[in-house]
Amino acid sequence: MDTFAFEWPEVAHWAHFSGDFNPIHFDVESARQAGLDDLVVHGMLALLTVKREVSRTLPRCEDASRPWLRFHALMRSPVPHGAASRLVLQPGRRGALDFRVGADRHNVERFRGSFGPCARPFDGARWSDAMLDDVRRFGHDDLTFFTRSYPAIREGWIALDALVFSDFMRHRLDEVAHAARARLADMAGASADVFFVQTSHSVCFDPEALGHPGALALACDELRCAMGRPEVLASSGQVIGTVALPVFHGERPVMQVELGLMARPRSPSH
Amino acid sequence: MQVDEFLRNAVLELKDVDESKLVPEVTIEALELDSLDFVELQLGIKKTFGVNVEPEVFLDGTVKTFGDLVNYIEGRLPQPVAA
Repeated sequence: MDTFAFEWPEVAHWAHFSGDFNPIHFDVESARQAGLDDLVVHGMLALLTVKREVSRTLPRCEDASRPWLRFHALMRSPVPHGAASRLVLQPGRRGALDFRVGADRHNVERFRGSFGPCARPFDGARWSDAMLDDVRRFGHDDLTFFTRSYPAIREGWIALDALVFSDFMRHRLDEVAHAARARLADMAGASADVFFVQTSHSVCFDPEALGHPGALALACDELRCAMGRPEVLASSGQVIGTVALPVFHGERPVMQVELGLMARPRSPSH
Repeated sequence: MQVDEFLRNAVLELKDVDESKLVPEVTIEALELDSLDFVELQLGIKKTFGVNVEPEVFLDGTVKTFGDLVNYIEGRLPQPVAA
């Protein structure tokens, strides 16, 4: 498989699973107000395919100094509904696999990134008890919904990443949106209706904990996900930032998801 | 992590450039970074070093080369508080 595309039913299904009902995926007028030519596919939906392919292609690497794995994707341009994308994999630096996803027939880069070994990102002092007070837990129903929706994906880390993202969209995005609106209002001097765009997605995970297909099901009851304080910058009429979402199995860190987000004022309707 | 090493890794993630070309004299313009690239760089620098690199420094000539950017960040690293 080196080309893939997503049509309306798949987009709707991902929205139902993830809780991402951003109107740019469903309403043409909203998409155009966001500066897009047409409806676009969720970046996270398109990345499911990439994650699966890189996960199955990366050669095994034994490096005690880099025992975790890191998937990192930059979302460069939107993927229109029904548009074919082409995935290219090539060896990268330090044992990683680089990937590029482009429009099938045009020289447009949609995603770029890498998948490979990394050091554990966790600094024990960073995640204070205060942050871990507000933790979310996942249930078997959440996992079952994902595995039934996407039976071709057997990798535990991909499923958990999707659950973390879905939980963020449903339960934590409002907090981030409120902060972004306040920063934009400071810049623009007025209350701003904003739209969000995801600019990047990173997942670092412990393959020992999550690598094999059954691992996630075994761990589900004891998984906790926290949210770090967003790193936010106001720049050039927009607010950019990252949100870290560490995941623990009991007391053991097993994954860290990091979302890159950009918030802009929505253009007024004509 | 050293600033030079961080920036080198960051640019190599953003662009398909030959690593050997990332020398202090290479111009930012030659790297062909677009607005999304600058966003990623800005965020990464802020998160890693606590330094905010405003886009204006690239426009007003303060930072023209890769070496300028390294020096700019190093000159603004937070100083450790004396005991």
